[in-house]
Amino acid sequence: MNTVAGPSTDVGDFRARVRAFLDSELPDDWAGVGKLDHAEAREFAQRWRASLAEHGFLAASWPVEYGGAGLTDAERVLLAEEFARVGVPTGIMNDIFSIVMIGNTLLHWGTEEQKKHFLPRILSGQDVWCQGYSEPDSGSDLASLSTRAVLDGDEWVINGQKIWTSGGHLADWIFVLVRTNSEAPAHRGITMLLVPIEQDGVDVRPIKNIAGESEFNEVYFTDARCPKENVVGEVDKGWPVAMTLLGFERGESAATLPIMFRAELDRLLDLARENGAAAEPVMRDALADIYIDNEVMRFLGRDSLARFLAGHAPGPDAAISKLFWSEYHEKATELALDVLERESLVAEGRRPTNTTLFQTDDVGAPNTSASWITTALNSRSGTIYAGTSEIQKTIIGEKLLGLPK
Amino acid sequence: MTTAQKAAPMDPLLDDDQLSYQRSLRAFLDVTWGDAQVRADLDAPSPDRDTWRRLAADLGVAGLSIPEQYGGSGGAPAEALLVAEELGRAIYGGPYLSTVVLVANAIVLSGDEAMAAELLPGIASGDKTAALATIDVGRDRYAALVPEATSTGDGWVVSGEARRVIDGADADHVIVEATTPAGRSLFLLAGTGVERTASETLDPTRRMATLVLNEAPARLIGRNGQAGEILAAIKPLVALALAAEAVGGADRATRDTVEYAKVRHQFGKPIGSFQAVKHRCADMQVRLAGARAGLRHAGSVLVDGSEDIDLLASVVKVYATKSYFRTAADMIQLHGGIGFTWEHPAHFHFKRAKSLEILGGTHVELRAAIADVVLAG
Repeated sequence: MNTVAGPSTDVGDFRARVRAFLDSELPDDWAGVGKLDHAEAREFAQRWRASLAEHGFLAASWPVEYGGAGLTDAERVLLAEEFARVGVPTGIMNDIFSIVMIGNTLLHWGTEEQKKHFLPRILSGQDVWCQGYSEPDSGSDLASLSTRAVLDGDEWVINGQKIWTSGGHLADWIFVLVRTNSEAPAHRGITMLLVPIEQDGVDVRPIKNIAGESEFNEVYFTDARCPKENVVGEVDKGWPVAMTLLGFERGESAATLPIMFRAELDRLLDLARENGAAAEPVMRDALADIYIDNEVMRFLGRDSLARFLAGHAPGPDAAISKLFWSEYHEKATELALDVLERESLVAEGRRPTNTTLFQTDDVGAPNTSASWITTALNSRSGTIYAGTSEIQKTIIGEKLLGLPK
Repeated sequence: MTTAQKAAPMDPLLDDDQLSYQRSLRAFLDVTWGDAQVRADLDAPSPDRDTWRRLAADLGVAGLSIPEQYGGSGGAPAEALLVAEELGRAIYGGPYLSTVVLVANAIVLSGDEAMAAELLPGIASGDKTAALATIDVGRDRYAALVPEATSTGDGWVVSGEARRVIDGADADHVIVEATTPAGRSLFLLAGTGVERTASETLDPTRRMATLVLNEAPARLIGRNGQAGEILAAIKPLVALALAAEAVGGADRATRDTVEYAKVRHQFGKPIGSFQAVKHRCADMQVRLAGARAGLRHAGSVLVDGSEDIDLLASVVKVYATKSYFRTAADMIQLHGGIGFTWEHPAHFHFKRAKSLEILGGTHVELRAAIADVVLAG
């Protein structure tokens, strides 16, 4: 493997190497995925992913022995930042689940056999993963989940239903939280299982979201099976394993979200200049106000990055940044529809490719009404997924401020 | 979850010296400027000078904005913001804003070396205070006669009125902005020909006065017609000092409200256990985190000059002061009846916060200025 970076690399030097990589791999006139139509973007994403894997940039923080580049924290953040700056993804959409979530979870909790089996298959693209956490009756109160698994010889037999499974229709595997002990307290009877999707007992059914897209799914388990050894961590002790995901946000988003949201705001300001909104006092005031919030997001990103790179564990202050960006994005895209004014009644032109999980449209995307309408609709999910705004406020109140339950 | 990770730090964007200075300031003010002193100073016929002298002499707060040749320690804008933040936390209303942020910065930026040599050493030591009266009437329906300066051959006399002059009734030196045929200019009043009347202020911890000038003898500061340039240069420093006061005040208001929500019981439980209360406290913390991160960033930009400081200062000022006001209003609400009493300090925050929103450019004015920059081109 042609590994570009190693743990001993000096950061300044590393930045130069990342830029050299981007220069050599991207066309001279590259201006972001947003300049490609959807077919081109899909084709680019696959090609780009293969190139990242070949150069050790796909799961760059993983140890070299598992196909990563063993990057330091500072290098990892820098890599994400440089990619965001030129508008290229760090993988395909499902890599959030395959690499960031289950890959990292296996690195932390997995047996040597699990790591050796699953991690290379993730990097090669042979296995694509999705996440089975939420259930129809277990959303914010995840620990109340009721999908059951019982041992039948050397196999688990799974029955129940998961929901909001993003990218489930594109996945070969699902990491799923199941109840393995109904006698124990809620958090102590949960197990994480690794389940193949291609089997009769697993049925993935798309759900259409408010933007008219079928990105997430329901997943039904009817006597679905997986090998006994496909447990991550220990049986009945899956809750801390499940929560490990919360720790995988390690500075990247603090570095990349301000870049993404600033690029998006620049498009909005362009739009306002083009269509005359920039001449209207009320719109000027609203645009200045959103600019202020956008800047505050940058300040918060700088603060949490400094905190993280100084060696402090990501703590409940991550709730502040999740709450802030998701609320910001709803406000910014509501404003975008007001800037579009009558144009926002009809969706025309290029739509987002949806590679960034409901955040901003692709870098370089044209200022079309379809772009803003889709982005504005999708932004409503930001304050719901990965802990609603209400849950984030409760976390801030209880964990950061010490208010009683 | 990885290697040895430290407990969450107070503030990752401050270095060890800054954290140590912050601790010293806070320790001093905790002892010298508690609720009793805040209240005693309200009723005092003239403002406290003793605490100010000690802040200047023992903690060097005035000298941070003054070059070494004039008795200061010079060129420490990030530390100066720490001072304003701690003074805001203590709801201190002494002469820092008027004397240092407005006057010392204006004199330094005027380039008038004679005036600097004459005024700045006394300011740095804490012995002298100063006020700056600008022509900044906004929408005032009772706009007074704008001060006008007339040359007398070997000097100037100024006539007119200036309102809302911070510390204008008691300051040792008074500088007024006045018009001349060459434009707006700054003048140091000699002391005669001026009638000073203390005002009843929205923020009772911040003293203001009306000055009536009747052919008051004065000396020009810097060049004739230079006031616009000087005031534009101090504007981001003023905006950030006000933002810093807001951050300090909001931190105190948030902490005090959270502590109250933990101990005040209703329906048999601490009120902080109710989501309606808990989430309002969380909102306070989110606003505070954003405002403080902005202030720290602005402090570093004052040092390295890496961004447009006028734009950045406007952004931070609007966000920090609006955040403080919202938090102070919520502090009253979450305290219930007791929060509406004079005896409780919540009203000091509320009044201070609204006053900070308006001083140094209202958020409406600053958003207009921000729009001018970001929508240009």
